[in-house]
Amino acid sequence: MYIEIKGLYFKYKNAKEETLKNFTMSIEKGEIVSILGESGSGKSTVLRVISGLEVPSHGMIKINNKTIIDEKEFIPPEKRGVGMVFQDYALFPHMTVGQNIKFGLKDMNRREKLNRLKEVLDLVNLEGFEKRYPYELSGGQQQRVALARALAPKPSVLLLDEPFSNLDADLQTKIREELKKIIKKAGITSIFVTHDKEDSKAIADKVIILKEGEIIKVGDVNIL
Amino acid sequence: MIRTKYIKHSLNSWSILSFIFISLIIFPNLNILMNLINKPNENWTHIKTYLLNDYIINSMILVIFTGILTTIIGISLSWIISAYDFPGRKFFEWGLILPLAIPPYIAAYTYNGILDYTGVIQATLRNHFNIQLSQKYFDIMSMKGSIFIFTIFLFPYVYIITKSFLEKQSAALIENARLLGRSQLEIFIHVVLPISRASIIGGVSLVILEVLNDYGVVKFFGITTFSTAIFKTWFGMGDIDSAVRISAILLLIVFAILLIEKLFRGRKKYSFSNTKFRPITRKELKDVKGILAFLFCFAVFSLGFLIPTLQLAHWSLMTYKKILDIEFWRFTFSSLSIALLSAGLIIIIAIIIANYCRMNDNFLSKLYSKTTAVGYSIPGAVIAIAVIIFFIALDNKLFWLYKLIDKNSSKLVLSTSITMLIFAYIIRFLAIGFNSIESGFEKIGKKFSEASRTLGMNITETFLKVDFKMIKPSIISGFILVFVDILKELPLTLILRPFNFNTLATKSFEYANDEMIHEASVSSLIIIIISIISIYIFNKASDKEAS
Repeated sequence: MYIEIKGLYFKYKNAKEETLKNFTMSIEKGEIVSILGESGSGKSTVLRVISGLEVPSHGMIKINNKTIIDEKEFIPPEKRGVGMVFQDYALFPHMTVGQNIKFGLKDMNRREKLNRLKEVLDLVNLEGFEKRYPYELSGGQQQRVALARALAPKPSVLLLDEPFSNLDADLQTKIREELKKIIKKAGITSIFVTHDKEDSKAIADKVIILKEGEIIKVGDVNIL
Repeated sequence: MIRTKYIKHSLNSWSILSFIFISLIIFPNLNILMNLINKPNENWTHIKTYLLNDYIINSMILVIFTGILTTIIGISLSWIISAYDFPGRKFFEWGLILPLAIPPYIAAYTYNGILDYTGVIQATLRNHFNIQLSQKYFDIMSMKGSIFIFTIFLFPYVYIITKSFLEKQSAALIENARLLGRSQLEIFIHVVLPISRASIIGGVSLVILEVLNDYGVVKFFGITTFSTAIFKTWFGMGDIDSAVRISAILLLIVFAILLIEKLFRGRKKYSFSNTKFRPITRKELKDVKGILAFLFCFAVFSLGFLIPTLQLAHWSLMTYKKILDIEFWRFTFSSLSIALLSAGLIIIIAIIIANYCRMNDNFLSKLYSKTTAVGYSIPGAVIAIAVIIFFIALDNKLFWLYKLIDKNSSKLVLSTSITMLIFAYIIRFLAIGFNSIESGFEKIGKKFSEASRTLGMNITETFLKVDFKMIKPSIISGFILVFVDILKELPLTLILRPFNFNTLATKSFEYANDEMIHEASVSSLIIIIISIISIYIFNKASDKEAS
């Protein structure tokens, strides 16, 4: 198993109930998994816990046989090697596209950084955009920059939080196809959360349906 | 539990430094309060029987009347400016903030100079109209005079907060009331006053805290309040124990005021909402009504800014040749450099604590942010006593070290140095820097730093590469606000400055106290000009943010 999550419990401060209850799942390498649920079902929380932005009260997560959190271990977000595309992209507004993408490549030298920038821009079809600022891009382009930025440091897993919620309906269908193509081309294990069945159907290899913090169904897209 | 593991992990330089800074703020003040438990000395019985009542009554009279009058002037002006259009409205909207640029102690001796026997009013009446009136009509050095000074120079706190609330958040309610056929006066009484309650209380409590903090006005006018009593008990009677005891009582009063403010305000906050807002459609005031509105604003503006500034400018022209010597440039330089240095330190500390607080939503972070805010409410005289006691104790503890460095070292090193004054500034003004930085962090939210963390940067790298650049405007405006406040500051600087160290504020006050009011004008005018510039920059920045 490439990603193994066992018995995850999480409760937000001041919340009455646990947001995640005994969340357990496993993912094969290269698989695209969709977590489907209504708002408040805890689906984004799963991503935040995997990335290390939230700390669960109990449970264990292993990525590529390395424990990133359990009762004894806590690896901070910056050392987990997990890439994340935020719901509203969170592109740094004071940096150009190029600077945004190179942001996570701090261990590379100048030439390596430039090569990797070229590679990922090529992957997301945004060659020639490196000097632009985020506000000069359309919603779809911003999303691709966010994706390129998350992929650039070659993370072991890619997390996408509602990747289509900020896009127009017309654009969604087109971008879904594009996103699937890019992820498959990059060959990266991915987890994305959505509230839209169509997203899951179009992209996912495996679907997890979440309700009130508990998994109620797991399977391929046919379970939808 | 995983959380224990996480807490250990989150113990980093940000949390450790925040803890140290907060402890340094809490400790000296707590020490003051602890003194209430100790057994008082004989002198205290004397103070309690014969003097304490006066301190309490005088301070309360000042607080209550200034509170009522600033409320009346502040609300009426904010309503006139937000709801009506009349000649000069645009100018007064900004101009009515300007009295804040004149520290009350400067206003006090300026008005005294204007009104005294040789002042412009009496001299004109005598020389041109041959009128000689009794001196009692011109005596401003009284309780009434102090209330006048505090009211005219502190009302902008109520005006600014209430106006901002009315302009940004009340349009729909007021327009609805108009459509329901209510008159302007009815709307004012039944809609405007109740909905702006929280902002009015917010503004008035700032005024009250400023009155309790004041030392310059009451000392100059010879009124015994808590502030002057603390100084007198210590320096006049040489009784530090009783001075600390009076400080502790004043501190309790301040806490009670903060508590009452919280209770009155309820759950409502007077927030400067950052979301898009629709301004009230202003009603045009024509003819007599327009002229009356103009005259009211002009009268307040003249009393609070125009008259004292013109008078100071006139005195400056008379005296600048005598005043502008090397000594003058020396204390101007020391004034500016200590304000710059302290403001810089305050902003750095504010950033560290604010960043810790936003990263950690727990009991400690709440305590930290409350503690920083409380500093600004503690009157200067109390902070001064707290800091001196703390530094003397520190000197006693470090004496062995001083001896090690220099065999002939005296016992008091830190407590006779500028460090003590800077430390006191930090306690008093940290809240201003902190509020500014905190609102900057609130505006950008956490998503950018979270994105940075998932891209491999730790908290410090994230701060330097992402947060710092994004909150730069808040850092700059926080710095300007703190800088100007330090430049104007009087009581702390008066007590805690090292021997022979002067600032623009202390020098103005010394001149005025030595009956050299004309000589005090140049440094006073410099303070006012710098304050005006900062108010202007700050106002521009807030307008830009709001649009």
